Amino acid sequence: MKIILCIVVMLLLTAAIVPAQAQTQLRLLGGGSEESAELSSGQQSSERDLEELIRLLSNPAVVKQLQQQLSATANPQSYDVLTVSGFENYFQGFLIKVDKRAGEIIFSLSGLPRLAEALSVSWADNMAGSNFLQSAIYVIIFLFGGFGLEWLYWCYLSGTLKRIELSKPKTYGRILKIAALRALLLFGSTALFVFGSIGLFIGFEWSPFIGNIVLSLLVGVIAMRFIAMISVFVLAPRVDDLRLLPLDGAAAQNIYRWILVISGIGIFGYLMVDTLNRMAVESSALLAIEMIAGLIFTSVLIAAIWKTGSRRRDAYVSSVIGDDADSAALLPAPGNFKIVMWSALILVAFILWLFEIDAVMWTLVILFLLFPTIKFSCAMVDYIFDNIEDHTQVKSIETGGEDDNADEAQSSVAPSRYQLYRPIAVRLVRFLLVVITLITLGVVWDVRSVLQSTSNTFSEKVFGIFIDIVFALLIAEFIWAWGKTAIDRKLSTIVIEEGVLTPGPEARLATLLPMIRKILMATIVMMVSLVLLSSLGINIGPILAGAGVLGIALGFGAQSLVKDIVSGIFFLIEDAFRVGEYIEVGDLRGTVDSVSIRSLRVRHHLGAIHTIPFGELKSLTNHSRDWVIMKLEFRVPFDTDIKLIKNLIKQVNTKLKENPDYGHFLIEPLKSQGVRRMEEFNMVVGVKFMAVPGQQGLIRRDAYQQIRDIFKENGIEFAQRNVTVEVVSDRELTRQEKEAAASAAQESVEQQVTAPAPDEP
Amino acid sequence: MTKKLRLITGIILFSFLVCHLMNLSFGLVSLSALDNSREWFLFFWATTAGIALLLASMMTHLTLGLVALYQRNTLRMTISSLIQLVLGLLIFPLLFGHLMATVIGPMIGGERQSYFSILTLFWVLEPITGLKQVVVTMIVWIHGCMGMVIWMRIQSWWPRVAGFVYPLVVGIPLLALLGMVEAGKEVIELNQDPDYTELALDTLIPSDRVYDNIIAMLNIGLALYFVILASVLVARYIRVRKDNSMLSVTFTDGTRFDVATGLTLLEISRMNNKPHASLCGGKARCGTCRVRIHAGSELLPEASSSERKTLQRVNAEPDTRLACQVIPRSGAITIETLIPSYIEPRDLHSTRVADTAMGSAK
Repeated sequence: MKIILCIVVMLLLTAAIVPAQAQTQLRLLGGGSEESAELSSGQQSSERDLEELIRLLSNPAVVKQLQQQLSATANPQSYDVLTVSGFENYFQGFLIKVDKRAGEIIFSLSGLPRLAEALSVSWADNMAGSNFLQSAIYVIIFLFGGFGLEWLYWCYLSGTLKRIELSKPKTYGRILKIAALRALLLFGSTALFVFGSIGLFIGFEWSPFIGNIVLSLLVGVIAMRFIAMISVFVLAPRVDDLRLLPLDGAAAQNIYRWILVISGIGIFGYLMVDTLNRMAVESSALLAIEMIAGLIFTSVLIAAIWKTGSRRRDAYVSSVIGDDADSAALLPAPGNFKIVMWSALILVAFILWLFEIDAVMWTLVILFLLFPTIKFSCAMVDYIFDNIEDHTQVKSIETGGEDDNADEAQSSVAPSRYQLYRPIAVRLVRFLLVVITLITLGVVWDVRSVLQSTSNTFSEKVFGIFIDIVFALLIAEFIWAWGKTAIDRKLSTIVIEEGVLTPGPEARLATLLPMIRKILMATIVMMVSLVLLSSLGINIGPILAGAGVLGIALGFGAQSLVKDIVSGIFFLIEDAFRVGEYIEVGDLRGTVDSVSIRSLRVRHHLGAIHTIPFGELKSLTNHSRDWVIMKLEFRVPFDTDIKLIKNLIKQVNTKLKENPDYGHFLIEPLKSQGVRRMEEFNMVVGVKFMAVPGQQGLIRRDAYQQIRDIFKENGIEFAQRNVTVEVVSDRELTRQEKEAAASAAQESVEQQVTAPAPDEP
Repeated sequence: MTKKLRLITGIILFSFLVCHLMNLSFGLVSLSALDNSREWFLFFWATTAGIALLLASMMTHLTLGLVALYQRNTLRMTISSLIQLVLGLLIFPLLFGHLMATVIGPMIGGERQSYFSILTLFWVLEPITGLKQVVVTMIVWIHGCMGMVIWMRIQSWWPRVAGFVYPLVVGIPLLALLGMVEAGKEVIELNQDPDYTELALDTLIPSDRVYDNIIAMLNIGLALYFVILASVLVARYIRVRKDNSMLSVTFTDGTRFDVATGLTLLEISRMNNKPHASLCGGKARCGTCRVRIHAGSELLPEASSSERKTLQRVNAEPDTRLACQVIPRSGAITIETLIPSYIEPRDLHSTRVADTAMGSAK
């Protein structure tokens, strides 16, 4: 998908705007007659020139034409290439230019045999009056001065350099720091060389021509040394530990050598052409030299690609099949396609350069460099993030902590805090590269005006729209990638343990995060589509207005819905309740069954489900958090031994604790609290215990049973409601009298009304 | 013995060079200052004894150098050894002309040259000679400094003195050359007057006969030199018929090199970019290159007397040899370097490292 986007962008760019040069040439070819008249008049004497000029300027028609031409130069009309006539005009101009250039090339090629002679004549002319040998002496002296100072520098600092090179940094950050330190040292030495050589150069008196040549050679050498220094900083060919790129030693050395060769040939080729230019060599000879230099440079580039390409191919083959010669014969050799493609590209670029079709050449080069640059940059970002922390230390924790399983699990599961930023960094790098490419292409094709969107041609409009769309999509993808990664990472760290009755805070994250992700997705899509629509030129004002009105209407109507959602978020954030806890809201109570975005479902212990919107939760009572204390009471007669009860409760507690089913749910032991109250017929003795919420019933059941058993064994009776009728009489009562007394007593017993059974599980 | 002689003759030649160059730097003041200061700097060297000493030292040093070249088992060597060798071999042909004009010429009937006459030759009459002279100054200075520094590095006084010596190494020749340029400018100006040129020519070529003699001697000397050099190289080649047997060297830190025989263990390390301490440059003097032989000691030749002396001086253990001296035969050998590669001269004699580097005197 991305590749198709890039190809479409490329096609549009090549056809979008006319380069300024072809346009001006066309004008020159077309409107040259006026200017030639003025040129010929320049051959007369200067006085007559001035008179002529004054005469011409007083002619209003000439002045008007001059003004028109000036304004045309100021506002070049660009050909609207996406229309048929515009394209025809552009192509015609292009063909004329290419034809002219081809003529120049052929002319200079035909003059090749006489080239050497022409050059030596020109050289002799320029060298006349210069003292070659004296200059040679000066050159030797300033070279000695430059290199001598550099040598002196290293006398004092080579130990430091060796120490730096022998340190073994573990993380990428440290590698970068130490490599930078080394680069600083190398910079110092190169700077001293510059200081020594240029300083002494200035001190001598040079004849102008030789002086220029020597200076340009010196500058060339200094430029090469700086390139070498930067390459050493990045590639570190001799020191594996300080390499910033994921290469092995041999590959780094190979690349370094090729960089030196290519930059050397490039720099000195350029300097040679520059010198020849200054020698006022005939232009066709100069062109011939330029062509030869360009050809040499191109061939060196192609040679470099073939050499490094085939090395990597050999490495690939040997890494895949090892040293097995038989399978080597069976394995089809990996194709040379990429190498051939790149060589062809370089050749085409050379030909384009030769014909001075600079804009297309640069476009081709930049676009073909874009893909490998992006791939390389993303690989570099991955490499940096892989090495950003010290893996050797983590490994030692894993091997050293065999007895501590928790630590092991933690170090392998917990991701480092940098890894969150990896996808962001990769996308950011890609984004920056695309932006830089587009800007460079814009500079190449001279499209500064387009970015200010005051354009009026169709092709410029399309180009502008495409830039807007591309940027909007890139930014949206960027934000989405960041959000999604952060949320996914958080979700993956949530481990919901099965079988735990009250799950921890991870559960609410598991609810919230997908919600947030959906909201983020919706927002991004909405905003991107609005941006797209607006850049296409559609007036989104009415859409925004309509959406606004709809939003207000929905908002008013959905007030309570929004209130529910927002309250719910806050309840979840505060961890007021969790799924599985027993809560009480108003007069509704039950276990939390599930939580949705707007309401919570609570199951009563008898089976009924209450659905409670969050907005209704003024306050909430949670019975299942952390611990519950249960207090039990017994009525015992007044003459019961309290101390005995205490001991018996202790025994019961021991038995309870040992129970395998619920013993571990007991947080604090069963304790006797002594006498709580005195009532009419009995004392109330209380015991209490603290248990895990939800399990107290289990314990209470057995507690009651065992207390009853142990009281019975030890002769403690529970209080019974009895009425003792004291008869003050000297004789035994008759049966009738006894029944009468009993029924009277019965009434007073029945007067004590028990409280209704509480509604609890 | 021969190494010591080479060192001493080298020191003699080098001290002459320093005097001459310091003299030349007075050219920055003026031509007359140059001439006047000549007495002070060169008064010993201008005497007959001085000249004889110089000539004898030069012949001895050159001969001993050629003998060392003959004794090399292979022409593969480290960059610094190569530079030292090539520069040394280039000195004689380039310098012989100057030597003839200034030293030997007066001995066979020519006139004593002045700075004026020689500078006129360099800057006006035959500029190519001037260029040659500048080049040979650089060559001699670099060759001499390399030799001197390699000897001085392992002396105990070196760490104190090093900081002051290095700037001199750059400063002395630079000032001398700049002095030559300045005095040259003055000489060029003087030679606008043809009388001066006439004077210089008279000094340089007092008579045709002397001149012919000098030229004849020059040619014979150069021809002789090249013949001797060629024969030394041929003789060396004949002596060392290369056999292509392989040697496998394994270090205890895991690196392993498979190389052809004929190199010392130090050279093997150097060729393969493995850092290996060697403060005296492979001359069996400092002992920092010593290695413990874990396996393959039967492939090594007997220790020479200088090696034994050095090993004794650093209190080396029985299975330790100097890597710069031993050339193993073909086979497999396992060794361990004993001194860290980044050792500096100042650590050689310090008490901290004394036990490992130079050994403590017990």
